[in-house]
Amino acid sequence: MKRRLFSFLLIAAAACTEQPTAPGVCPDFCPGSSIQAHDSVFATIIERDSSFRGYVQSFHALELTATDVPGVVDSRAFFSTDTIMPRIQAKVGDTTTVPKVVDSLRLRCVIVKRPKNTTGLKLRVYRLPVTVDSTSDFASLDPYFVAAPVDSVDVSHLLGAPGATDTAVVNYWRNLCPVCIDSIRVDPDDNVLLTQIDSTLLIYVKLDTVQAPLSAADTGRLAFGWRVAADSFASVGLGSSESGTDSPLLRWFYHYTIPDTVSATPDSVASKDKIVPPRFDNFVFNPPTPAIDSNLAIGGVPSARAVVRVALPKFLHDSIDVVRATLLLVPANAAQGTPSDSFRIVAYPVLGDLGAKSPVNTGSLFTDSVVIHIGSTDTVRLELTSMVRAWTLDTAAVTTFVLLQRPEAASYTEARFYSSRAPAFRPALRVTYVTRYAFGRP
Amino acid sequence: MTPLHRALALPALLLVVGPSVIAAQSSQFGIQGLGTPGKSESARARATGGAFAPFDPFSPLTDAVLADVRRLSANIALTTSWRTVDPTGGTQSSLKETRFPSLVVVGPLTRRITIGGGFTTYLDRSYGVLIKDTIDIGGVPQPVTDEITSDGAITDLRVALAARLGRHLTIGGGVHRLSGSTREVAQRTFGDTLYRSSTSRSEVAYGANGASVSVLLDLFQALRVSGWARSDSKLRSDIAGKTIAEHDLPVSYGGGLLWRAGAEASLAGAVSWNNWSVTGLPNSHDTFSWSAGLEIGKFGAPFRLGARQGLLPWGVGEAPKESALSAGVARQFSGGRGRIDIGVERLERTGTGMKEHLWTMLLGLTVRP
Repeated sequence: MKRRLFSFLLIAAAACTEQPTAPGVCPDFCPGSSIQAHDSVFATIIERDSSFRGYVQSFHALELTATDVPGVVDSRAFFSTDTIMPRIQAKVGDTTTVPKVVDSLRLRCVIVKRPKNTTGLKLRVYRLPVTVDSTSDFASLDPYFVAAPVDSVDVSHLLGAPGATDTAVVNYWRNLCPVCIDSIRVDPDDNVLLTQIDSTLLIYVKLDTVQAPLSAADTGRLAFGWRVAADSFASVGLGSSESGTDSPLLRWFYHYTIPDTVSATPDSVASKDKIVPPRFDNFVFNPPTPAIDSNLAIGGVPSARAVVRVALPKFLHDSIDVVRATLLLVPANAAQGTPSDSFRIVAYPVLGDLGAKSPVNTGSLFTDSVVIHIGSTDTVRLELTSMVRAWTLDTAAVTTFVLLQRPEAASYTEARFYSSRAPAFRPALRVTYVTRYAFGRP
Repeated sequence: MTPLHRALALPALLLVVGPSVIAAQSSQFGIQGLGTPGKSESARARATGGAFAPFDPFSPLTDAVLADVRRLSANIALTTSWRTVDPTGGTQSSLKETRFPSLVVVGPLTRRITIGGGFTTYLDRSYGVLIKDTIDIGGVPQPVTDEITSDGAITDLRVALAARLGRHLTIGGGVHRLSGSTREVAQRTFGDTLYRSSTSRSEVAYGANGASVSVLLDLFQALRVSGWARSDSKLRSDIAGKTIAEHDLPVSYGGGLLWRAGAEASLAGAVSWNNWSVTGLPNSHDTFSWSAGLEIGKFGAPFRLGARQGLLPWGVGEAPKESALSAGVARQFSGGRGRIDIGVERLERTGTGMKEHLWTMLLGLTVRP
């Protein structure tokens, strides 16, 4: 009985499955109405577009750019380390201190962006005065960067070298992050290159006390700068302290003697190490970012943003389904740099149109972006479909968006596009839309 | 719950929710017209090719025959169709649908007068078409896929009276309210994912009124003749309360003949006409259909056979033809208080550019509490 009931229910369930859709045989066996798509380029609806500079400074950026493209740009990164005391309290409860004897140091930097096809990529380390800060510019630091470097790492050579096979070395470095480290390479100078699974490179430069002395007068602070060199397209992006895990670091290895004042046993020696975070990091470059003009500038240092307003035609609100909206931007000139400096421009809606101080809705789901390729003068097409669709559904929405570089102020690169003040090349919005289907008519 | 309540529970439930789910089997031939006309037939009449419909009180075709019912009764029909669509030079596809094409509740009002009502499908507007095309957007060809679906039907709600005027003559009349809606969706998806899909939805409501009259003449004890006619007002189509279209509906009329060739055999034939061309739609045609069927065996467990042929109202050029063969059995239970009808129908539709083949399983349930 149960089996019969189950069979009946199974048949009933199968019988109730609907399949009403068949390939259309048009026009004889299709509905009289059809879906109509239209494509229009709105050449004049971008209006009151302007650029403003000063949103993010380079020392707040997530990356530090080091580049050397002769005749184009020379960018140098630097950082200063925090204090380390030259003496240490040898015993708990004992107020006497003993001097630290530095054995060596490890200077870490993280290459988060690099040209993959460049050969002879080298990273050179320079000593800088510990007084470097936000007022330090390219000219003031130039004497230190043209001096002899304290050390140098041949990144391309290390990347081409076989991985380390010494299990003690491998285990030591892999233990830094067992799930992140992909490969370990060590050069004859004991500099180490760790390739992470996200393709970023961790470089540990070994320094001695001559290259990096512990100065009590400077409270142990040090400052280093990086320059990059390569056979061509020398440019890397280094992680900054703002990036968190990719921050530059300095690790001191030292020992000290614990005096034994009670027993007849000899003094013992203790070895320790200390990681000091950066106090400040930044990069300087030459030539500086040009001033804002009548065009739309996006990027550079300090970062520039473009505020763009769209006078959305009323008919786009009514019975229209926007399926694609593309912002067309004509470059006023090609972005300068190396191919690996190509960057992303993101369009964010604003919470309210307050001009240059319009609050950007960075949490919005209606953002779109496009990659700006260095040296390209092609028209840039930025998809704004999500944003324009949202505008068509809400007649009260603020139809203003902001174009900004991601990450901001992390590079000297900047895009310049013609604004609405250049009638022949002004920004335009190309909209593809589907009109309301004529329901109910056979 | 009394047996009467139990017996009426299913029909009552279907009366409440039914109009939203009922529909006859749909057809590609109905897409460009007002829809596929429903068959006002119970499972019993359908198994005889529709020939017994004018003489079957549970087929909502005529009103006078309601007078044959002397106890409160209800009948519901269920159909499941497997349809093969075979366009000329196109790709064959298989479709499937389940419908509740009719419900009739009828009972005596007085000794001579019977009242009945229920619903049936007037026009089925359930379909879905998938159209692949390439359109030009800014000089670039873009492949697109359109899916246009309509789900719903125009339902014929009927209240009818039948009066036996003498031993030989019975007359009937009914008022009809055509009501219903279709949920329609038009969706376009682009081959290039940079284009978002576009989906439009709407609900179209339909409304019209109608009236029907019929007469049933018992010429001899073994011979019955039936005639009927029906007229409806314009069919109004509304979206959000705004009328978007109005179409005239056809005048329908027909007749039938039933011969009881003994205690365990009956033969019937029926014809009907509909002037669908009054709708004014392009490619609309007047239709004629005939059917013949027989029922043999004991009253409690008969065997049925039937055949029908007719025209469909919508089609390019000539009116598409529809022909069918059907068969079925029935079984009474609970001392005649219930009856279950089971049947199968093989139907073929042929028109310019298209053929359709259907297998339809028929199920009918009658209860007399």
